[in-house]
Amino acid sequence: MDRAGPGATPESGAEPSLPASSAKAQPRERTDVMAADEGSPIVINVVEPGEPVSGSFAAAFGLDLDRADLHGFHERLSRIDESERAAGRVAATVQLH
Amino acid sequence: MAEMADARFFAWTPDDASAVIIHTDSEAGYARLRREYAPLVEVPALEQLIYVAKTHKVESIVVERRYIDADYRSEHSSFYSTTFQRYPSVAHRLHFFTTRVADSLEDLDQLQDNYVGYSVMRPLDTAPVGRTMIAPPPDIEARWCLATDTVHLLGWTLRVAAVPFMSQDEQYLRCAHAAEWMVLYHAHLFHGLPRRLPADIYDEALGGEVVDRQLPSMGLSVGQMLNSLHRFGLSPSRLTLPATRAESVSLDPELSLPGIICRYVNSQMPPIVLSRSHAWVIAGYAIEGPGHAHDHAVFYRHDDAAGPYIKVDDPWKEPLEQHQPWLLALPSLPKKCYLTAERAEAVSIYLYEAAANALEHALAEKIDSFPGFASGVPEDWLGYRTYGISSTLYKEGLRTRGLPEPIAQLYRLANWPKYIWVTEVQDRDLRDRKAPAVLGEVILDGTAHHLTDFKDPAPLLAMHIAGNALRKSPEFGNLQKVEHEPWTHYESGCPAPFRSPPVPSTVGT
Repeated sequence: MDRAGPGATPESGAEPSLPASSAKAQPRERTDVMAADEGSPIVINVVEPGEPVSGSFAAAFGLDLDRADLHGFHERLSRIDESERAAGRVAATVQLH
Repeated sequence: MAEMADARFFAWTPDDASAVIIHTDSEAGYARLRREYAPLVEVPALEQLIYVAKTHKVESIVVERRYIDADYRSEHSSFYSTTFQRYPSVAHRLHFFTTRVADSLEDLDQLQDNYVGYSVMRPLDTAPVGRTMIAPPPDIEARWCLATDTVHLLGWTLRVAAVPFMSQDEQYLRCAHAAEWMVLYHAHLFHGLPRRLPADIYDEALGGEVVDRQLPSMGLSVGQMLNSLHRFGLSPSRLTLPATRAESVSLDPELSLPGIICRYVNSQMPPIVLSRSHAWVIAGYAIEGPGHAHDHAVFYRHDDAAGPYIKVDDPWKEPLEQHQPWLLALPSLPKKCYLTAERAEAVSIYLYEAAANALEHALAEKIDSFPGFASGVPEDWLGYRTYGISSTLYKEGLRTRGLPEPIAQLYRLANWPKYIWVTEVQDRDLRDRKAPAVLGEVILDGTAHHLTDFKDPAPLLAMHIAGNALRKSPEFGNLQKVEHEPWTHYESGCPAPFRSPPVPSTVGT
């Protein structure tokens, strides 16, 4: 049986193998992986649905996020924060079995 | 007693039979289960398992009597191998079929449509019910935290969609361990986290604030639960639950009890609920009538001490002391979901209302009797449903929901993080009638700042109101807009399905 010798791999044929660390450091030739011919790189343009619009998200949807607080949302977020803090106080008293 | 234990040890796997069949078309089959697995006392978890099997009209149970169960073997290795009394290291596994299985045990792949799950029986007389994946009772229409498990039985592959269940053994695992196991096995099957075994959970829970003896375990503190769930790759949150129904009704929707529980069930993140002494997992919920959730929401819990899929009609009127009161919810978010559901919903509602104000006139031409938002809180006919979901799963679902294709394509081609929060705006009346009810949604970045404000545009990935959709690119902030007509309501993308989803066909080996 024709053996390639110690350390050979199916990919490397009879070439001596490198230690794993140095083998890992060898980059492949870029042309091997990038293109099969010498033409220009292939550019694929994905057709996006809809229309591009300029400005901010808020402006595009007509939102005025700088206006006065709507429906007390600041307080609403504060109540979420307080609920989390209160949970911490309750948790210290509980043991589960 | 010792003689009896020895007899049990030798009788546990009495021969080399690959499997035996117990026919349950009469009560005698279930009586045999009780004799085999609960010979000393009635075991509530086993009784509830039998009840669920009966709702499926199970006719045959195939029993593997030398099943090496990773979860029980983990308990055995860490605890039951250390006792003077010997415990078998193998378990039994029961497979439930809704048809009579032939004694030959051939062609089980033909029985996929009749397979409703399995349950591992541990050789522990007072706590036999181990890893269990049995489909929810078929007569309950609810949203479930279902995960699909693949089972290999005698060379055949079967699948089951269920909410994972396991009972505590009262020595090594307590309720908090079992609740964590249920959440983690679900996270393994649904979210792709590594599988965690009982000993993993026991060991990780030794961190945090230890408040009592740990072997035998006297229970866990909340700190131990938070610590261990975090170390398993989840990000458990901690929320106060309102003490009374009146308080819950008075709160903002994002902090009400049904609001908190349902949001995380919707997100396939089964929440753990804690009383002062006990922990259990919410497996699903149902809204049993039109109108406000407080009036009609019921919950289904996996209580490790009592069994799977137990209905809770009213969280504020629990009959048993160990369930009183519902103090805290511990939903376990995926680690890369920094924003909580509560904050995501509050921010999304603000953004949606602001956008609806701006678009009011345009929308009024599209939707008959559109009430407008300028005067304040939306009319009662609108409801919000918030869920967290992987962006991949969300995009996959777009094809079947009836969302206009240009808007679906706008979403598909978006660069989104792994987890997103979606707040859908729904027509309550259509939702109650099980018709397509969604008229728009706000989509937020799951990795957004956890204290994000509603005036912070950063978390906003996309928004859609009745045919007007907008998407933002992540790096350059480019906006892409779709205006689509005709517009119609479409199906929810909520990942927690009603009942059991169709199970894929069996693949024979």
